Amino acid sequence: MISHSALNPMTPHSALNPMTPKDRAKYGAALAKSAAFDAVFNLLRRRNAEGRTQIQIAEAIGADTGWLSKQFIGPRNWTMETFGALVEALDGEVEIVVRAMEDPLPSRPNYDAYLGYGMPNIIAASTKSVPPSTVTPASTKPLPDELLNVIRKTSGITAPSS
Amino acid sequence: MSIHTHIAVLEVAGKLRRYVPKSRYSPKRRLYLTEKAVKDLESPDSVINLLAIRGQVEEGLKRWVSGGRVWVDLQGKPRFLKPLCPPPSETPPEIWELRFTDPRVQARLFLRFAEPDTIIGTKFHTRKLLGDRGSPEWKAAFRECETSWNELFPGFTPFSGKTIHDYVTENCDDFPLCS
Repeated sequence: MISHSALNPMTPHSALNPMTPKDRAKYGAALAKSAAFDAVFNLLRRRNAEGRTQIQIAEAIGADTGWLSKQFIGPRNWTMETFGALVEALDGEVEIVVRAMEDPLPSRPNYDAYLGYGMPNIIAASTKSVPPSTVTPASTKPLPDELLNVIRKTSGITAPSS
Repeated sequence: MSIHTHIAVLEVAGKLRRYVPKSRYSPKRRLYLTEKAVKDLESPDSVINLLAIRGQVEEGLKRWVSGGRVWVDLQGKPRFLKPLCPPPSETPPEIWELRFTDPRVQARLFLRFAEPDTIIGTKFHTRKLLGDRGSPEWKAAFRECETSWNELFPGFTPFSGKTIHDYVTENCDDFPLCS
């Protein structure tokens, strides 16, 4: 198993319970459908912006606009035939690249949406003082005062003034 | 305290869990799940798992976090991220849904925006159990989303913008908000 931290040094992967093998299979299939959908839809937008109508695009492969619209409601289980036909209708060319998860990126990422959203020092302090088992499990209960106090003391954050 | 800091406090307390998909790329947007939403994903008894659609759901979550396109269809209807626009007198504002549409709309994640590109997913619902728009189940789901927000973010209002691009700053098709 590849460690996420090896892939992305910025945000640790807060793993959920692992998916079942069947869920993994569906996840992989959904990602592939999504990638195909995005790639073809991007070219469709470009062709539309260039002035090509949906009628012209559909007619290029002997289809109608109703069929074309249906293909772009969302990622779906396109056959290779449908995928290829859409690419051809858009005067595109298919290139498929599958990378290994451990393969390096061409350049190191310089942005991480979660960067600055964690509080590593506070997390360390609070987990020392408050064992995880004492964290209130139900979201309907307020945060324990002692935990809030630990966090506020450590960070200098004051209580909300609402 | 800013809502940004409050999120960090909730994360430390185990009240929110950030969703970070396994990927070669760094996250571009933020998604935090409540304990209920995490349970919906993880519990073998949850509807998501009973319907065996966790894989499809996590693909949608990955699309959001990794900065994937928030698209509209060829008629301009939002199909992935959608503001829920009920009559203001009946339901609370600023409730959105992520739709998991493969092979059709089966599940939705009700959510609110805490900040631009930052969503708090409160609970997953299945389309079948919600029934038609305006059903008692819909209204209950709205109330539940609002209640979860109020419990987690007392004194904080959800983020509100004028256009969709205030909410989603990159890679998002244009579509109208609730009027």
